[in-house]
Amino acid sequence: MIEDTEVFIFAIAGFLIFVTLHLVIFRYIDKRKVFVWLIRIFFLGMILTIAAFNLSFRIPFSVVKFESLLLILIMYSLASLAYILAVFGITATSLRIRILSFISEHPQGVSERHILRKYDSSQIVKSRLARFAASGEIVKIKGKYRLAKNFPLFLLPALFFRFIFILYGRKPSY
Amino acid sequence: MPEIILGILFYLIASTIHILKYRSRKIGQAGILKAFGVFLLFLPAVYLVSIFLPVRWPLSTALFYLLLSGTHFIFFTSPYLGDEGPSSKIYFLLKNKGQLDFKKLLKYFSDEELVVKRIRDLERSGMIKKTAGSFRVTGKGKFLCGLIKTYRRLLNWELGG
Repeated sequence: MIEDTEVFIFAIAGFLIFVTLHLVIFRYIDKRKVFVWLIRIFFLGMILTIAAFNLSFRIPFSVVKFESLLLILIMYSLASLAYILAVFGITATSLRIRILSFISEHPQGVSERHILRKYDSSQIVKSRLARFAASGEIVKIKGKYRLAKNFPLFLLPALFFRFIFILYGRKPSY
Repeated sequence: MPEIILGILFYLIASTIHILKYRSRKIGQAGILKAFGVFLLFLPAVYLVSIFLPVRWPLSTALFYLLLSGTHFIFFTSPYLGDEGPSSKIYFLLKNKGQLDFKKLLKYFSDEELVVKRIRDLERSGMIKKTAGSFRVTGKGKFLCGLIKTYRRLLNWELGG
């Protein structure tokens, strides 16, 4: 029988494997290929979690074993997604954090005009387009931008964010 | 798989209440962390029902519920803050319009929406304060900056945004 605490610990351990892999591997990757590497690390962490689980429970395949592994992998996926969105996502892409860091670099204080000189809508859109282009999500043909793939990696989180946005009674402006 | 069903069931109940309360503006004015209260209220219920039923892994069921709620809550920050991320907006604009040049794309964005609104949010959340026309980072803001800087150093990552 697989114990409750064992399922709990394996889910946490799997997530810690993911975070460790992320922290180690992301030091050396091509920073323009963030999405691809996140997915690779996610599956690598999953494989290692399954391997560790099978090594720890050397019992024949059973429904209980399958169910416990399924629950562990769902929890691993949710925890990894939450980490990517809330910790890594904020550090990597949040405009608020960027503005906050900019203000913190000026202990004497900084005016709104000064912030806008550094970060205006043109500069922000330009940097996002460059990031999309570098990851191959968007292409620029004859001066016009368009989506490069039918099913880009960015689609799923973007769709879900939009779905939640609408679900909470907000109307997207686009 | 009673654990998964139970976790999802409680999550659906909590998230429905959360959405209804938000839409009726009962939690729209609360702090972002206080808005998570609805989900936390159900946490002991998930654990107690798991023991009472009983399911095999009550502690894991509670963790599963907490992770579902936590992930939902991260997505909720977008409507809570009223933000449409610039990346999502670019993506959907190109998806809907087919193709756009930079000038046309830029018409859909403003400094007010992308920068000024975020400065106000930082001020409201006590991360920065305005004195004599200048913004300065508060102790809370410095703490967050320190955490982000440390994490970025660990990843060997430059500033995002």
